[in-house]
Amino acid sequence: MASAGSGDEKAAAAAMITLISSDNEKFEVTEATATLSQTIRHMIEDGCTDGGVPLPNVTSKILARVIEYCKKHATAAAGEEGSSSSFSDAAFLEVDRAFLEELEEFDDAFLEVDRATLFDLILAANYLDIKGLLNLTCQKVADSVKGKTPEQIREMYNIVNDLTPEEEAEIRRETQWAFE
Amino acid sequence: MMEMEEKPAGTDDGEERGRADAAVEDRLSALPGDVLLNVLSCLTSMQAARTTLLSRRWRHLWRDVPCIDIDQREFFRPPPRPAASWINAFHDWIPEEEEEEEEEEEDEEERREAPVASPWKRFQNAADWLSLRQHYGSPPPLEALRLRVACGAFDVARRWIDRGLERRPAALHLCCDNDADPDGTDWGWPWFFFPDAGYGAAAFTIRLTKLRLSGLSLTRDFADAVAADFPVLEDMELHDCRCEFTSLTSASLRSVSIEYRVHVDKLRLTTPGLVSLRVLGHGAPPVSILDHEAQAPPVAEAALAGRAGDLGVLRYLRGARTLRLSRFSTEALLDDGEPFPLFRNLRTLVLDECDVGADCHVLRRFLRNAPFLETLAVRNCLRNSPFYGGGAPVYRKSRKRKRKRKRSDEQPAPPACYPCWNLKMVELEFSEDNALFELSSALRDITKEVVHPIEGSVQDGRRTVKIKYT
Repeated sequence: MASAGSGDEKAAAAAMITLISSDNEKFEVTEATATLSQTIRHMIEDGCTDGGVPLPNVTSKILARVIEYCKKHATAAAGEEGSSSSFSDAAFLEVDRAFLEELEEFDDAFLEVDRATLFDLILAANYLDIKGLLNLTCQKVADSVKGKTPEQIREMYNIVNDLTPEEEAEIRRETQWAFE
Repeated sequence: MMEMEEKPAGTDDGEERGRADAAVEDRLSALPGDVLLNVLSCLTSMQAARTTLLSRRWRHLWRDVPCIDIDQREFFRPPPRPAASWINAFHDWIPEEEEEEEEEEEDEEERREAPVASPWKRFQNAADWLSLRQHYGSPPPLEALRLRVACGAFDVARRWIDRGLERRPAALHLCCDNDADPDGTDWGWPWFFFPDAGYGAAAFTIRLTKLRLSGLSLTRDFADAVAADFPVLEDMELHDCRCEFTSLTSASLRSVSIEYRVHVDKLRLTTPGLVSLRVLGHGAPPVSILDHEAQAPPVAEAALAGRAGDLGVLRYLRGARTLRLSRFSTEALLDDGEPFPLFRNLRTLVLDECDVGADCHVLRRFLRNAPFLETLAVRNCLRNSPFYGGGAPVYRKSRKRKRKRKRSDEQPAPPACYPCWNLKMVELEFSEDNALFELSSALRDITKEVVHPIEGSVQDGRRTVKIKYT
């Protein structure tokens, strides 16, 4: 990875955290990477990470991907360290346009997954409370339903229509402006 | 539990995937409600409202979405429905509002008259409906209110803004599409003001942290409201607006970004908490920043263009980590009359189309006074080589300066050296016939060691060079 250099330097000094997936695989990550997850951040603050953090809701396949995301974004956060840390709008910082573009490309490539994986990532991001990843994956789902009719969305996601014709008519009446 | 297929999840091959994927499993509806609300928050209100028809699970979800997002263009574009019913709908209404709009949008409305009728009604109905969907009692506050309308529809939108603001949004984005000439008449640049300024307005804006406006006229009244009624506003972005106010005061603002399209005399900032400042656009006015108790605001990043530096702004930015300056004159860069500031925190400096002075003496001052600089970019700042007979617009002026400098600066000529301990990269962009020797001699005075080979490329007569340091 292009940014590995600065990540490793940090790693040398930083404490390591062990994450344990549901299928008992262990992942060693830096604290900076792990604390992108608010859930893990709280655990670290409470001092309950000795002996590893079991994540019974996350498989090793998904955890590996989540860590990949966190590593990349932790490096990005480290680059902005010391400046206005509260800025979410990274474009503002102009620290390094090339790096921001790279990050965007990374995110795009990261989302190139099948739908089952996408849902697993959403659930993991939600469980681990990783805001950036949750927003990224939710946006991907939102993009997939944009401009689609209810029928198309149902078909796409296997949603069973359990509305009675009466209910359906009522909904159409209620939100007439949104249809035609 | 994981499906076997490895194809990326496409968005447009729904049917095919629907079958291959988990056969009957509805993983979308199975997501926790909060997550689904996050998904719905990414959609416009119209798209979100359409999900009410999916199933019972979805029927009431949308009511709890903490965002209102209206894009007027959606109302004028056929929805993804059988075309026939859409066309039929056009013949049902010729609403009276249509006439008002025609007065405002003469030519354009004439062209679209027939198809516009029904969408207009729907557009207005949506406003009413959205305000009706408030929960009984005190409605929960909104996370975001986003509106995008054509300038002719802004008066309709105003009603929505008023109602939306009653839900105390944390973010307000208003985008008024217009292609009017900013220097022309007021036509096409709706005035924007907050409802009932001075009369309970603060109650509506009490949670507002982010404000993004475009395509509007903003006067002193707007600036006064920002000063008085926005206790937690942190982030303000005004792009493509006619900003007519000349001063901006806020105790809470941390980030200000204004792109000027029309010329204004000045911009005086009294923003003691400012961290990020962008003043861009061809109309960018001279900026002055008021010290608060003799303390410059803690600006960490600034992007300034054109006349923004004319009143001497750099002295207030000496704490910055990132500076992007474009089209600055030498006078603006030197902040005449003040000693050149020491930029103790500066990590990134980008100079774009700036006049770095004869012998690059302005650039040299930065190199001397920014000891921890990591990245330097000098783009299009060089004059043409005299051998090519060309001359940048600033040539004559700078020549005069050159002679003057020669006397004062250069005669003692102590060998300069700039340690720049942390320098990692210098990026240069220039046209092939630029005179390079002044720049290269300035860069040679950096004592850090260059990593060879040096990267360089040429495209359309423009040369880019990246010099890396050990």
